[in-house]
Amino acid sequence: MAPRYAFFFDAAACSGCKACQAACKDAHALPAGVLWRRVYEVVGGGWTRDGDAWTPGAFAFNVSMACNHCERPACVEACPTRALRPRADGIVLVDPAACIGCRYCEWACPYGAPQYDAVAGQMTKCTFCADRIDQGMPPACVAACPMRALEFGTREDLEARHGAAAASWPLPDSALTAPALLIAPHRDARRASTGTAVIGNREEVRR
Amino acid sequence: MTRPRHERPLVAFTLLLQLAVGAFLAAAALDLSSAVPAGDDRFGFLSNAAFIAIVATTAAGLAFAFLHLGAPAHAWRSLANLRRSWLSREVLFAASFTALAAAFTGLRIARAVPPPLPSIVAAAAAICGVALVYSMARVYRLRTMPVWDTPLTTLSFFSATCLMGSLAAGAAVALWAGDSAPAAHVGVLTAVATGCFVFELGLEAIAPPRAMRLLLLGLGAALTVWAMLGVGPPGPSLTAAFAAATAALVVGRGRFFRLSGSRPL
Repeated sequence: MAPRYAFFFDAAACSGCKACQAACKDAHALPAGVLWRRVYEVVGGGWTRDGDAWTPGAFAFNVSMACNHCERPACVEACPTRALRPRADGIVLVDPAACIGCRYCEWACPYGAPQYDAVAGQMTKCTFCADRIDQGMPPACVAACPMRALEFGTREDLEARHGAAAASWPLPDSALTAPALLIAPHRDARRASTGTAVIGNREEVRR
Repeated sequence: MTRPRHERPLVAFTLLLQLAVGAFLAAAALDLSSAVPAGDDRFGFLSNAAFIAIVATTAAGLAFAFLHLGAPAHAWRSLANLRRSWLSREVLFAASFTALAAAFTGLRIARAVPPPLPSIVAAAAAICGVALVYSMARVYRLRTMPVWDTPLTTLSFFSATCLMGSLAAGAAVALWAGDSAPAAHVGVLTAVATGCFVFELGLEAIAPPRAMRLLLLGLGAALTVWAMLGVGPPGPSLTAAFAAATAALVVGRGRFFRLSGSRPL
């Protein structure tokens, strides 16, 4: 049975430098506005008043997100032309010969992975650097991270080394699509889940 | 921004197809209830032009769907995932509804076709039309888009279908038949429309209300009730009610599509 690849992301180690995002764009010559990997800035909290005293409580951390090559991919189920298909190793790829650019997968995916290329008129997304993986090299994002916050490997191997934490805001419930993603949460991830956090750099990651 | 431009053709596509299905259901029902036999000049309460207009509306909606694609050259491939994708199924039912509605219109124009063939074609078209609206709703019932994944999505799609369809058919009957418009049939259509107006107004209590939509729905409902009460000729007031209802639905559908930006990632 072919190994199923997964990403590991250490939110506590991520500095938000976006080297992963830039390395991906460079490796795949992505056009402007297309981000196969996106670094989201999660911000929230504020100052609380207690009588005459003000207590600081703002928090901020980063989430680096590409495609999670899910085990139950919502994009594959949704695609009317079957342009999105998983390989035996779980890597989900877009077939440009079949994609009609209807953008339904963009709505289906809760992680923002499918990216519309306006010039080609088709959807594109993270390929897990399948060509590099097949040659035994790491994905461009994993290789570029100066904080070693990104890793890749089989899910079993990553779980054995890092354990499995439950997804927290801004990620949706993992039961929806079973993403091949393990995250070591930031210390403020639980506070972000209480409803006060927002994506602070929305204009950078959305068209 | 690319996103709103991407969604506007879909507002047109969904509303035009829902109008066509609703109007066809009403028009076919009127034909079915006609006391005059099929071969007669006065058969049915609507002229053939009404059915041609329905087919033209369907074609216009499909044109919007086709043109919103980034790579329309492969459009025929959209039937490839009938097993899992509600979008593939929607395309299938849209194509079959269009073909059957056009076939029925052709049979109606030809007039020499013996029963029960026209009725069978009409019934098949009606079934495909209802399946089309249901498929459209299922397209948006994505488990990964919680704001869309509620029964209200399905209900509002059928409400739009019945509201636009009943008002379009009612206005057409009233305008074409004039003083001899069948009061009972127009009464049923206006009652359906009134029920849909109540539902649409109810939606404003749940979603962030839009003043323009409340105004248009209120105006449309008032005009429909005015026609239902039989004060003066119903044709002009039902036509105005149809325009107000459609405008209100455009506002509401635009709001629906903008909700797609509600997820954090």
